[in-house]
Formats: sequence, structure tokens, C-alpha cells
Amino acid sequence: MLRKYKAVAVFLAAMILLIAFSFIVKSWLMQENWFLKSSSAFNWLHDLGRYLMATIEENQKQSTLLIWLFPVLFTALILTVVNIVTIALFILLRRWGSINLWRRKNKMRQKAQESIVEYLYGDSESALQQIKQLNKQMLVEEIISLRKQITGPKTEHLQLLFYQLGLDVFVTHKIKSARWFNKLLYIDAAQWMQVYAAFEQIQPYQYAENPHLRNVAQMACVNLDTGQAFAFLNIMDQSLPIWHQILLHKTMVRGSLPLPDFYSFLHSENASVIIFALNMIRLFSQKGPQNEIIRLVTHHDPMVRRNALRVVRDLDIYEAIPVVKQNFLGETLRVQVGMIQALSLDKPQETFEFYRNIWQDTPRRLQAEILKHVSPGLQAMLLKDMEPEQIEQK
Amino acid sequence: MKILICESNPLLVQLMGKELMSEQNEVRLAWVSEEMASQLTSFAPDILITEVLLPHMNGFEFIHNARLQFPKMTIVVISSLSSNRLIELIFRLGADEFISKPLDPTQLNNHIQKAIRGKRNSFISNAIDYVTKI
Repeated sequence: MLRKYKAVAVFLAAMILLIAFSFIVKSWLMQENWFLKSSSAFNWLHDLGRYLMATIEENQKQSTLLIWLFPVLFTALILTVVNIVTIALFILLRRWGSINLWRRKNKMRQKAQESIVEYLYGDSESALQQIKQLNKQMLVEEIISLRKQITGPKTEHLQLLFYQLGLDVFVTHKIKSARWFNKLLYIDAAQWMQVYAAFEQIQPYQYAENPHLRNVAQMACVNLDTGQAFAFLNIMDQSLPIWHQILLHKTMVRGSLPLPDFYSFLHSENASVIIFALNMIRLFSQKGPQNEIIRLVTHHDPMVRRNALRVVRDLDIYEAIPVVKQNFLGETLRVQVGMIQALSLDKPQETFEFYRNIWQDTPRRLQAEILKHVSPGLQAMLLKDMEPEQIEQK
Repeated sequence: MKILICESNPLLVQLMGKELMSEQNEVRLAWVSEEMASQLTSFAPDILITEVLLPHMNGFEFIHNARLQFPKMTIVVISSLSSNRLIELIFRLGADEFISKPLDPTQLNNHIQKAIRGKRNSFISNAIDYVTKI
């Protein structure tokens, strides 16, 4: 209720203030000698107001409404001019300040870049002394941006520089920073520079509300913890985005990290965690209890079922074929396509029997999919069962 | 040899410049898009090392234009692109060598030598083809 009339209340208050201020202005204009008379800065305004008021009052043709409204209009005019000038000054000062700041930062950044290159290719000692005088946050940004782009012996030099500057301590300390984007920078830096001491600080952010922070923290923990790197998957409530799944996979490949037993995550209640585990099992061809995969072919989430079928196909889990055939007819179209791909594992004769039984109840799109995934011989046999009109349409 | 390095990360560009700097090489660096195009025309390098993902500029178009402008120039592309289709496109646009990021700057010379050798071999084989056809 209060919120509904908030705008009306603000408008009324502004009007009352404007009228009150207009009365003050009117009384100010009526007086010939006023208390700020000595201040020449306002004299011209006072004179102008008095002149305009006198002109209006003298002119008989003007309406009385204009005479009555004059102080309000005059006040509104003054306030508008003051507002415009203030806003313009504010914008100009801010712009000037930000340009100056950008120039200063750019200059410092250039200096930092030159010093880092000098450290890597020239006199390390003198360069190190120069770098020590520079802003630490900027150095972290520069070193990390370069570290992400290079490999080989120069990365070791860069890491040495990072530790020589004491940036590992700085980064560990700054992870507690109040701003989330700063946290992101320092967690990322700790990850790339292998600052194991920062692990304790990073760990709580694995379950942060902010998805960016959460994802970077999880990646850092995977990199920095050699023991329970993927423990966060057991507790995670939020969805694990596909992009983050790809990054986790990349991290494992890049760092040659020891793989956890992904089968242990297949009992998770979080469908995205199960999908991630299934994808990792498939990509790393991890062997484990096949019953776990077969169980997921009938999972309540269709995305999980589709991914389980991919694992069945890629890891050649023949035991899943009867389950796939049993559930084929009640499935969604997309899962059925996955099932057809998985059924390519089966013996041709048995596949033919199965497809012949379901052929009439199968939509045309699926029939085309089936024809794509069977041998030419089976294709001919299946098409033989169809009526000529149907073949023509296909 | 005249080498032009175009890359949006100024630190990486300087690093590559230091790696290739020698008595035989004249190296120029460009990390601002406008500079890249103007340096290419004014400097007319023998070797162009460039990134594809450039700010305010289409890297594919840049490679294509460079190839059209200087047919004999060796073009080495560095990029974090991993799609086979895009890499194939880069070669079709006229690149002679592709280096995927993250790259080892100490290996940059080897990559350039490889690109030059490849270009020379293809030139010789093209010449032989032409002569045999005649």
C-alpha cells in the first residue's frame, strides 16, 4: 500500500517544498535591501528577478495567474540551472578523474610488463628490484594473464618471480577481500601459481551463492588438493553447468591430475553431478561396476538416461542391451535416439528381430534413425517389411 | 628477416619479440588492432605471426587480406581455438603454420623454421608440377 503511493507522496512533498521555496523567493524579491546584499554574486539574480516581476505586474494584459505563479517559475528556473550545472560538473570531473586514473594505470602496467620481460630475458636482479616497487594487484593480473598463455621453461621463471615477490602470501591474504571479483582474481592466481597454502581459504567458496566464484573455487580446489579433489561434488546442491564441466575436464587433462573414482558419484541426488560423472567415465574410459551404469539407463531424469546410454555405447556394456530394449517404447524421442545408437552393440540378428517387432509402432523420424544405425543388409530387410508408399516417403 | 607480431596481449607480444630478436631479424610488435593493419602495409614483413581472436577486428579477415596483399609472406597463426573446422579454415585462408595456445615461447623459432621449410617445399613441388605439366 505504502509502496503504491510512494511516487504520489514524493511528488506532493516536492510540490510543497517548491511552493515553500517560492514564497521565500518572493519575499526575497520584494525586499529592496536583503541580507546578502553585500554579496555581489547574487545581486544580478536579485535584480533580474525584481525586474521581471515588475514587468509582469506593470503589464495590464498579463493574467493574474502568471503574477501569482511567477515566484514558482522563477524558483524552478533557478533550481533547474543549478541542477544542470551540478550534474555537468559532476560528469566532467568523474570523466576527467577516470581518464587520469586509466592513464596512470596504463603507464604502470606498461612499466610492469617491461620489467617482467626484463626479468625473464635480461638482468633478473635489477628487474626484480624495479618490480618490487609496483602495485601488487596489477602484478598479479599481469603475471596470471601471461601464465595462462604460455607453457615450457618460462612458466617456471614466472612462478619463481611470483614467489620472489611474495605474491603467494599476498594472494592468500587477499582471498578474504570483500569484493567477489577480487576474490575471483586471487583464487584464480592461487590456482595457476600452485599456492597450496591458499587451499584452506578457498575451500569455503566451493559452496558460494555466486556461481562464478563457486566455479572458480571448485576448479582451484581440484588443482590444489591432491587428496579429495572432487569431494565438493558429494555436497553440492546447485547445478553443475555444462561449461564448468568442460573446464573441470580440461583442468584434469592439463594438470594430469589423478582421476577420482567417478562411479562413487553415480548415487548423487544432483542430476548434473551424475551427468558429469558419466561424461568423465566415458571420456577417460574408466572401468568400474557396470551395474551402476545399467541402473542409470532407467533413471527418472531423461538427461541422465541419455548420458548413461552414451556410456553403454562407448564402453561396450552389452549387459545393458536387454534393459534398453525393455524400456524402448515408453521413452522420449531423444532418449530413443540414444537407445538406437546403444543398440548398435547388439548382434545383427537380434537387433533385426527387435526392430521388426517395434517397427509399426515407431515414428518415422525414429525409423530413419534406425536405418542410419544398422548394416545395409538389415536396412534392406527392414525396408522390405514396409509398404511401397512408406518407402517412397522416406 | 622482417617479422611482425600481432597479438592482443601486450606482455605475450613483448615476450615473443624478445624470443625472436636477433641480428638477422628485424622485429615489430603490434597489440592494438589499428596498428596491426597499418604496420602490415608499411612494414611489409617476411613473416607475420598473428592471433585470430583480435579485439575490434576479424582475425580471419586479417589473415586473408595479409595473404592477398603479400603472397610470398610466411604466416604463422597462434590461437587458443581448438575446433578442427576453424583450424582448417585458417589454413585455407593462407596460414602456413598453426600454434595452439598456451604456447612455449622458446619453441617459437622452431615453428617459424618449420613454416618456412613447409612453404619452400610447397613452392618447389608446385614448380615441379608446373614444369612437368609444360
